[in-house]
Amino acid sequence: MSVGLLFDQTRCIGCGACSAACKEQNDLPLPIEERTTAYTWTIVAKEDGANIRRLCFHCLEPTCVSVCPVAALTRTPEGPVVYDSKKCIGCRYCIMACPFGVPKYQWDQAVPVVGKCVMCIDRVREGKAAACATVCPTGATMFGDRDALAREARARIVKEPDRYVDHIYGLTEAGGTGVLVIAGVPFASLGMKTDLPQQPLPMLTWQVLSKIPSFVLVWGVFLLGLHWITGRRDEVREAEIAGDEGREGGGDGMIRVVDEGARRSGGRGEDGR
Amino acid sequence: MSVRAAARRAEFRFGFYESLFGIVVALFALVSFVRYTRGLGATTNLSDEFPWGLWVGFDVLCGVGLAAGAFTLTAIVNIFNLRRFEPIVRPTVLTGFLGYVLVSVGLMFDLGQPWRIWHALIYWNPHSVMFEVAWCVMLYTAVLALEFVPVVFERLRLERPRRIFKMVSTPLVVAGVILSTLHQSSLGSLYLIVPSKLHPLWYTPMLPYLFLISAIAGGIAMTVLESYLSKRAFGRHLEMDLLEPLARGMVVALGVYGLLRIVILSRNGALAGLAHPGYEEGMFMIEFAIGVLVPVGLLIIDRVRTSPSGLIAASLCAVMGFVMNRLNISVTGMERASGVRYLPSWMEITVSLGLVALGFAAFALAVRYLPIFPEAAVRPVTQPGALPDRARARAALSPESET
Amino acid sequence: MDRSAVRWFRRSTAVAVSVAAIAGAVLVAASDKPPEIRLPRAIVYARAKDSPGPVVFSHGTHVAIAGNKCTGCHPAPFRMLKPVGRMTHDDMNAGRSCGVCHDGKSATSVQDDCEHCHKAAPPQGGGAAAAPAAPTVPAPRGGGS
Repeated sequence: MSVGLLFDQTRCIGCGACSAACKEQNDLPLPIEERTTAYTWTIVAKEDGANIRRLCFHCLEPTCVSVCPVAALTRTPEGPVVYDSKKCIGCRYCIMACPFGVPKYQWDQAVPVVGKCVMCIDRVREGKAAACATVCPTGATMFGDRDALAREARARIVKEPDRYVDHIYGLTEAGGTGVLVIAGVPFASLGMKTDLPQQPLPMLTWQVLSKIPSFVLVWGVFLLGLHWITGRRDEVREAEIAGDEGREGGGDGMIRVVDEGARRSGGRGEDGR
Repeated sequence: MSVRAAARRAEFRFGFYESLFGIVVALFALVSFVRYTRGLGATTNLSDEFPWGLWVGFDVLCGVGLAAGAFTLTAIVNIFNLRRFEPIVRPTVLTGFLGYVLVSVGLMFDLGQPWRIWHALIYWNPHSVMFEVAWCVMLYTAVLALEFVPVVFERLRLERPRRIFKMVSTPLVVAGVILSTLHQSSLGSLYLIVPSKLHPLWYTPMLPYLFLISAIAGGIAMTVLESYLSKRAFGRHLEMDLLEPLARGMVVALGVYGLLRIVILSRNGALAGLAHPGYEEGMFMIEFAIGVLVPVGLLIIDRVRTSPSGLIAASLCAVMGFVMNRLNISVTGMERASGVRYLPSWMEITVSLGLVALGFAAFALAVRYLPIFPEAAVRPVTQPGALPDRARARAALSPESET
Repeated sequence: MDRSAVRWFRRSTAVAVSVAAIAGAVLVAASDKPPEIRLPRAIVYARAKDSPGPVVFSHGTHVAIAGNKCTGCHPAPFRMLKPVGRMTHDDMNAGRSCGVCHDGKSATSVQDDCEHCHKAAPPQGGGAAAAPAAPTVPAPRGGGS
């Protein structure tokens, strides 16, 4: 059971209470900017007269969590995807990888961190709703159990099919998200990404990374074996040469420092290098 | 003593390259100051829409890829036991080591909090490709250092330590090849996570394999170019007898790479897009022509491949195509989905150029003071400052000299 | 009242209510219903001893003036989730708190017409019940309210 948000785009009046509450809850500096930034974690955008919120989708299998090299982004057991600024090294892979373009960076800071909605995890852990849902005057943003919200979304679409586009955004996008959106206009016209895979993205890299241990073993054995096989050929050849010329070893190709002292002391490396 | 007199004694010329180097380094220092006091926004043209730019695309992706000659050459000499390539191992390992050191320095600029770069040692995320790259690069830089240390010991005439290190050279080379295979391919795996963002001309699940093969080819091309530049700077001749067979290896690698790209593009439909070329299609065609078609076309001609100028020209094209490919992946191919156009700022360019310049300088210093090349006579420890005396070296090598 | 009158009264009330309910449901279903807006309850501020009358803040009037935008007041100068809970004339006269707008230029000055805010009797609350439950603000410690 994990928590989520349901945003009903048809109920949004664009009042901005969600942005204001988010600023207050997370101690973010004003003003409320026109787009989400490291300092403004949610806004209400206007696309062709339609209101649409921008915020983190809190994926069920988050891409940002899978790419962060130091695990600064994690998915909590409660559901929200949160950020630990103390671990972050600023590689910005999360910003590059997130299919929804959610995480933002403090480009203006000498000591920068990432900023994104954390679904008020502190409030959630106290049993309260996320700040945006708490203050929304129309109930456009609702907080609750993600599955229950999905059922509510489906019920609304069934009940008023002329009011809604028949799709719950976030049900399967990127493998499913904690934030679901239903809308009265096509999602593409709201500036939302509609070309995303319907499976979780982390699998794309995990299927490569998971093979590494066996790869190391196989490749290592192969290389050592090759070294042994070809070395045998060289030993044979060297023995022949030594036999022919009566010289001590040789053909080892070692580079000697050329000055008087070195020529006397230059020795032969065992493995010939 | 005046600066001029001291410089003359050290035989340091204020020539064109030296002045250029001085200007680049001075600008580099200035940019460093801005970068660390005012942050990335003041220094770069990066943004939330475009968080990775020149420093990732060039310093990291190209820097690591072009240093791949080290693992290729050490594998050829140690694993395949083709000992005759020995003479070019040292400069290639040096190039590799310097390359990886410069990548690390470059990361100091690109990371938002570079003083935390060690965090990957204690905070683990095995699901992250970047975690794996970080570890492999850290370990491999150590391997390169250990592979190079015998050269230093030789210079310092520390025979016992040198011999001890030589004993572990095969395990080191095997570790190096494994680590290199892993991280060279992982640089490509970094981009597996953005199927909806990277243009289909470059996005493919085969990215790790493409990156590995192109790194092998690029590393060989860099070995050729580094031999040529050393020849020009230190009066060495190009070891054609060694570079020519390597060039054949490069042809095979580039051929496989090119064929793979064509097959992938015909399968994912991007090839059809070339009929109506737009910006990305144009960039791809240039990259493919310079990086694959021209080098392969030139090098399969025996006369070209066996001539130094032909080899150098083909390798130069291969390197330019390599760089263009990785910049296309990190910049060109990501622009459309990001909604913005990205061009590096002059400060970003300064840092990247500065790192290359520092690499050249470090390489020159190493050749001067360490036994990198066999016939360059290294001055004894007792006489600092003298240039290598090639005539003396040749005399010392001849059978008539005394032992 | 006799029994037949009571019965008639009850029956007609029931009919009237049913008709109204059905008509209302039909109207609601047919109309392009705008979102139902639930504003917070009216906030009744506790009074200092020298207060001329209780002050009741109604979201309804203010939201209408602000063009259905909450961001003019929230989160600054007024918090939403954890209200500060102190409204002093010292703050207001200095151009903070209500004084940001009630300075005589954008709205009635706090220093002019006491009756504008301090009503003799508290009016009905504005808007239906909704979250967040607006607490009764405790009396300030110094400075009138």
